[in-house]
Amino acid sequence: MTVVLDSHETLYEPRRKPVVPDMPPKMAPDTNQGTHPLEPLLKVEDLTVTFGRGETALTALNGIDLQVAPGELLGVVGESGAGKSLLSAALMGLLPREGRIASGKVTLAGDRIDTLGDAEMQKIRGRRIGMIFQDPMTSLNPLLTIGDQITETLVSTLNLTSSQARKRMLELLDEIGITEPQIREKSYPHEFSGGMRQRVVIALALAGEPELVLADEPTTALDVSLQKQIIGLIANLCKTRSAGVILITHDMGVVAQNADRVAVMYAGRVVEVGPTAQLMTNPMHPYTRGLIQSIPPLDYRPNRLTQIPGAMPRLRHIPSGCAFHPRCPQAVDACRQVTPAMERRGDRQARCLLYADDPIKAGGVA
Amino acid sequence: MTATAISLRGVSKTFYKRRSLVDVVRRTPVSGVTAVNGVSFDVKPGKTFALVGESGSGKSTIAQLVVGLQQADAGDLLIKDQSMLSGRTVGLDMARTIQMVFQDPYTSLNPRWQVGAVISEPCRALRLGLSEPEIRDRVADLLTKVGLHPSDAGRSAHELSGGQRQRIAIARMLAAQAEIVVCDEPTSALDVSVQAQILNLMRDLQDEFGLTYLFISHNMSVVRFMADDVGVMKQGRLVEQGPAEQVFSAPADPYTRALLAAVPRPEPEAVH
Repeated sequence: MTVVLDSHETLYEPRRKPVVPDMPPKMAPDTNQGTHPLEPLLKVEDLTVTFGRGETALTALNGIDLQVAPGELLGVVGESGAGKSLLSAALMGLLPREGRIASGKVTLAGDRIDTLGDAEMQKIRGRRIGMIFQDPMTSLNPLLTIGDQITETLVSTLNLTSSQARKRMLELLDEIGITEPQIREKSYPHEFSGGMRQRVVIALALAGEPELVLADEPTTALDVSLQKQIIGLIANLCKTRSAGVILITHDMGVVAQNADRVAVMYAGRVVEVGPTAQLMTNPMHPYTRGLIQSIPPLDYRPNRLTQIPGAMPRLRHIPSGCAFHPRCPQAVDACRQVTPAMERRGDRQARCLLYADDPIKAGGVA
Repeated sequence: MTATAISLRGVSKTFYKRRSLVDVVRRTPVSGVTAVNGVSFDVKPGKTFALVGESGSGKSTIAQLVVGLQQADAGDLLIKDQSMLSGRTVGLDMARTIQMVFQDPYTSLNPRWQVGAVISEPCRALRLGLSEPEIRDRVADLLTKVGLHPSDAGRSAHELSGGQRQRIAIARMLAAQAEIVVCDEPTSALDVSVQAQILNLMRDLQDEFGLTYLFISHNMSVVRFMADDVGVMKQGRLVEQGPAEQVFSAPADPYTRALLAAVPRPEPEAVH
């Protein structure tokens, strides 16, 4: 019986290692190291995803604009039903059959990827976009050893020979904090704890040396004490590789501690984007403020929590104007009729009439 | 009023692996997992005692022991000063006294039932002696109490959102006229804004009905808001317990400190 060693979950410190030298050179996007590069790695422009056609079509994602720079970690937060996971599915070309990209443009390092067919998209996934999902047990093949799974991915994404791939696999295992890789590569996923499994999933996502990593609720299935380590690992490994990360989560705390910038989604739209610290201390959009205030404080016990009344609307019943207006403490009459445009304040943006110079002209009448 | 609502005294529970015939013939040693190991704590009437800890620490096993879904191997469990382990059958009295609110509102309500049926079920099953019109009034009254509309009684559980479902589960618990409520991660399946609604509601109802909560959660900030007293569990043992104020401001056990340090906070000073 193999014993699952949990001890180094806590002892592990991320070690930074140069990427293996005999790799084929990547199109390294190293010219722009700042947070606001001239040419972002991922550029999502006015992305709209609909379900169904004609009169009954539902708009699930509505005019999403996002950018991710190389090495940047963008947090995407919002409650269930906001469209976070649909956004990641749209970026990966994995929309459900009924869904389609109705308009907009997605470019990855200058290459348009939203118009690619399944076969071409298959080459992008794993190779240029790495994916980390919520449940590590279902992302791994239970019948293959973890060493074989990573080696297989390396062979298929990077065209390595099996001996090169094995060498690289052992390095990857070491990088994700698995001690004695030569022994543990022979383990099966069920012999690993949840945290170790998620580390293996991270190794798989990074195996193809992707430019962008999409992490969809990567720690929701894990204990809180592992959360920090796992997200820290993703952040570190991607920074050293200059890979951009989109971290999708419902947890404002996770985002606050790891993201460079945050995008807040509500009912299929991005309602606020900005640098993490500013957005967390001084949120522009009332929804962002509500989300932050709903979290119970840790240092004292208030009599009541600030709550956002109501619930996220369903797709079929998205309110007119600003979709948040029925729940918004600051809503005025205009919010019911006018769909707010993105208003810019320095490097921050919010979709709220509070920031529109002329609310009536702001977004055109919906 | 009794001195304690719930009292555990050195309670232990071990789960054994099922032995096959081969194990018996080969005399393989019996292997088991001690989920709860010598745990003692008291829950005061009308107060909230929270159990925190990671998955596998034994929190949920304690919940099951308290509501009688599991039997303890050792120690004593008292509900309102009466021992539950002395072989007495747990009857309707017990079910009226203790109710449970479960973690997942999607599996704890029958999706085919109408909301009215879900809430009125305890009134009938626990023989509360109400007439049908009285039951109907009570359902309407409870729906209002938990922030829903009396007309929601005619809807099916599957039409409702997670937060609404959890409100129904709370109304069902109130319908049984429970005094003690065991809440096993009642908000961990909910979004944070809805979580705030449900936690506020639970505290309001506690004030109104004098409910005693045994509140189980892995979320330290939720526990901070709900708990009067806290017990920290690790690998089946209670490593620290005391008034919430004290446990949070001056945690004595290193494990409690580690749990507190792991909480991701939205405050900017936490940004590295």
